Amino acid sequence: MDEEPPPDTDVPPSAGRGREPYSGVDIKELPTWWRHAIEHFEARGLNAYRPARFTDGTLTRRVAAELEAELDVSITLRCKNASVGDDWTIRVDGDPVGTVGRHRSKEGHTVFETTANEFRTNIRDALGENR
Amino acid sequence: MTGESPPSNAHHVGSTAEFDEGDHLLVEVEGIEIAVYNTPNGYFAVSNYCVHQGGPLCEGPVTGSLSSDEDGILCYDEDTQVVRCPWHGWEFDIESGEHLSRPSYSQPTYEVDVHDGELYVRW
Repeated sequence: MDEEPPPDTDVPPSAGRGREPYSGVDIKELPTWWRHAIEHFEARGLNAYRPARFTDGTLTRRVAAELEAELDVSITLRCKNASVGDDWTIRVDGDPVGTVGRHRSKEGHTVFETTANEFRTNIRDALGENR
Repeated sequence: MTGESPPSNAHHVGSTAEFDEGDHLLVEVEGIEIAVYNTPNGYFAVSNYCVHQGGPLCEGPVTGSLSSDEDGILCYDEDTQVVRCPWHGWEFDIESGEHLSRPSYSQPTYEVDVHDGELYVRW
């Protein structure tokens, strides 16, 4: 899925922009991984952290964390020698169980090109949980 | 570093057996994307969010770098590995994270530890 990047500007982010998308949000109420990622980005002068999501908008890490807790597994997403447009590999406890398209939106978050329900089904199928 | 336990702030990202020199591995760790590069000078990890506008920096090409000698003649340096952001072409030294032409801009980098053939990124 191709998406145009934002227009080029010569202005890198300032530290003050670290929580721009979170105005009105109580950061302390967010899941630990999310809060830590916000702080991680702020400390390094990056644009505000925007978590990866599926095409239906569901947050990838939230779904993965739910499945990890329910199925007692570790789920990772990765790509060797990645270039733009490459599929990423889904791994469960280190074993590849499928691939998923992926792109970075111009807003700065990653989109994994499947829905949360499709992702759940793929993981459960790989583990034989849907039989 | 081998034989010791990884520190508490170390995040497992893969195995040295998974990639050869010149390869890189992009991983998502606790919601954060990081690339580990296997370079001639060792393993180095870089944030996959370009400090410029959040582009997927580590999906860009990796090359050596150009520098000029005292006579102003351009030289291609294969030892200094550079990654170029696919969005706007900003280029960073993989080892230091420094922007090639604007050293005041720096891409986040991370320490990489190897324990018993497993790779860990620290932050």
